[in-house]
Amino acid sequence: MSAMRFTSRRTVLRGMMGGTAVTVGLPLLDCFLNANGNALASGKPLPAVFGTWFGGLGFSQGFWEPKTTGANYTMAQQLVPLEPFRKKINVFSGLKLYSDGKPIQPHATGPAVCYTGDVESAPHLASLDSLIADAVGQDTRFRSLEVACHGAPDSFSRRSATVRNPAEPSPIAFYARVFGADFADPNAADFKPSPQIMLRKSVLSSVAEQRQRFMQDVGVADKARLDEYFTSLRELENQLQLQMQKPAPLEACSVPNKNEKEAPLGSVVDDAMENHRLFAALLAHTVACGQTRVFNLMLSSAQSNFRETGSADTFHVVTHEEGTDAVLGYQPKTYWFQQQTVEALRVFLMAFDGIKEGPGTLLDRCLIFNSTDTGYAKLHAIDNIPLMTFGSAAGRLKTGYHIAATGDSVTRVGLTCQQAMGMQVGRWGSGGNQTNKPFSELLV
Amino acid sequence: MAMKPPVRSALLLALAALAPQPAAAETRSFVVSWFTAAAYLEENNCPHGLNPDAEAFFRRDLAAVGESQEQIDAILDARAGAVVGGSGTPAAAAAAANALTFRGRIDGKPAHAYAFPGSVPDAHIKTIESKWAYGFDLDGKTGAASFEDPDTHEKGVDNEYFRAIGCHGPERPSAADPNSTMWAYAWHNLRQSLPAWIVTVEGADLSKDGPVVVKFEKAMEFAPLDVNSHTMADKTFRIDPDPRWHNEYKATLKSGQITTDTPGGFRMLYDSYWVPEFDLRRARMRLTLNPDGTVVGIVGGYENWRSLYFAYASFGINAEDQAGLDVPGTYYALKRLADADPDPVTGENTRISAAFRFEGVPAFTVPLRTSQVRDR
Repeated sequence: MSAMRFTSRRTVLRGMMGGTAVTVGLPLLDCFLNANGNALASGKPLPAVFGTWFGGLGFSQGFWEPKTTGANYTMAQQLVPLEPFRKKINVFSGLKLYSDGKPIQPHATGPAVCYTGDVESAPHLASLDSLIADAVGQDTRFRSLEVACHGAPDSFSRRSATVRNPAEPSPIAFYARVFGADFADPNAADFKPSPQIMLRKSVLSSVAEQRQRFMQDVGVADKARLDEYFTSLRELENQLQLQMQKPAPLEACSVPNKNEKEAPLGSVVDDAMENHRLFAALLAHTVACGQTRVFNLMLSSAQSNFRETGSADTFHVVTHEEGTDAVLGYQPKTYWFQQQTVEALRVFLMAFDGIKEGPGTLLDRCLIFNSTDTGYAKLHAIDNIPLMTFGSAAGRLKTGYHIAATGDSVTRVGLTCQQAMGMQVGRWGSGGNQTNKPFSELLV
Repeated sequence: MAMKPPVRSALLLALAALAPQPAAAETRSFVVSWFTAAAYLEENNCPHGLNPDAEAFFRRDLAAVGESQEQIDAILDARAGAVVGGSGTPAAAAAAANALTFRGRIDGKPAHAYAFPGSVPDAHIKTIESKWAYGFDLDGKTGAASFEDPDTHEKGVDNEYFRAIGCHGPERPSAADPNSTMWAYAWHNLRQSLPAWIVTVEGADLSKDGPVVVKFEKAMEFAPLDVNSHTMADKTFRIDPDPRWHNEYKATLKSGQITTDTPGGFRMLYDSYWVPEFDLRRARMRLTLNPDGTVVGIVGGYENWRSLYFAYASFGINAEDQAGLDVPGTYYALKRLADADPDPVTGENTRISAAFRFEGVPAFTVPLRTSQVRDR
């Protein structure tokens, strides 16, 4: 015990292996944790994970908002399936976005503000997850991971307007990417860097020498372009460097079953739900195995293209065509589609909350931002947009609250997420959506 | 030197004309907070059912232009997988959208179904068959084809626009949510980027019956929303001096209801995304001043039916694929039901009767300063 007292969790063992210099990370030993096992011994919190979870066309107005605010709220009718996780969920109602006189693009403006804080998603702006990945995603194998369940590589994650992070629509391809040949099992008895990784790293090193000369010979615009390109190369180098290290054992990490069959990739709701189930399990394992600290999941696109088997009418068309039932008070078919979103959320939360870590679960270490593109879907309204967060970011965010912040911008949730993830940021968003008011009552 | 009487009289008249006009004893202004086509809610006004969904009318139109069943299935299978964000490849998505967009035929060659809707065979879409519709008797005739206004019970109401679009599912209000039509969708999404519209009522005493003047004008500012996303009341707006957006009517106030005395024009800038501008001819208007300070009204008149068609055509494939609206079918319905101002050459009516419902909340107005006018 005393021997470990002066050792930080970043301590590595340096040496030679097979003629190659390698560094070997130490496991996340108990002595690195505090007495409760819920923070590092130094007092720093456990590494929190940030995720986004998007489902198109929201929920039915008046049926998702809890009737009471604060802690111990009662789950509203449409969100009842999430009741088992209520104490780990924050619900935000009444939030909207401000267009500042700029034209609203139905389905695009909502995600634009939720993800970039700007009505028009100004070209230079990075998405919320990207900002967080810059802060916390540098020491993981993947800076961030994006998946989409509706058959298309849609993603709101971006470094800028021209550098987007496309999603992987195939669970099988995602499995291969994360748990394929390059995956180093943190709990494996032995470790040897992959020859392919060493080769790739070697190639990049030679590139590094050439790029210095290259940069001297080009103009300003090309320099900027090359700088962006080389930045991504440096990130790749860093990732490869990480893979040269033996990963720390992670008790909760296990490699998922690779024999699961994915459903056809597409917008048929049953297929998308099945692929979402696979993605939820894969992401949970991916995060538990420390492969990334940032992820983005899209159940359906904005302007959801979900449809039932044998029907070409999408969820979106239904929102326009269907009348509101006088007795029920909502659009029945629209409500049914929205319940698929709720069911997917339940499955997702089960996957993350089902992995135990110390006294808590993987979900507790996460902060997952759930958003959508519309408030009242029939009008494609941009007010009262349903937003939720799941998990406490390793204890940095209080959970189990309903916050009714009528008239405030959705950016308050994004700012709160950034601060909960430890970012030193005081304001976020632009124009009428700029805010310097996180939900401080939730921040620990 | 004394001026001669005629000269003096002329000068006095000229001075009188230049002097500030006395303000009406009472003036109340409102900023328009809602503006949609007036759609009357009635369960059974489409006795033959609603118009078919996109899948059905795509199949119908493709068959009508001679596509084989195999070709139709291929196009629609591609569409089913290629709707926005779908799993189809970009090439499949583009091919399906292209085939549907160009499902018209001119001289046997594919034609753009929205730019040249006449290239798609007329499907004779279902239209409203009812006694009831909001609006006014614009032509002084009370034929069997005309409606009765459900509020005023005025007979001979002309609102063929409502007849034309009323059997489209997305255009129908529901009892639980009367403000849920495509026009409501448009207003909801456009209102924050539209210049505000101002309604002003002037009279000697607006608490008593008597003559009044109603103005409908465009402001220089947008109408801001409050935290509940309702149009903010009691804001101040500068009136745009552009005469194109100045509509003024002599009207009569009786029992809280204001009705314009004689038909006039109604011209107002709207949005290039939907209807670029309204240009109602022989328009009539009625307003109710509510006790809570708000106003609600109907304006009806004859609108260029092609302007109204533009709202559908500009959406194009999205109107059909994503909202289930039959664009060429609507084109034919508008053209067929147009009921005014025949083209002198073709004899076809160029305008269609229509009515629009608006609401407003209290507002203040100020004139635009001269320097601001100069700088525009």
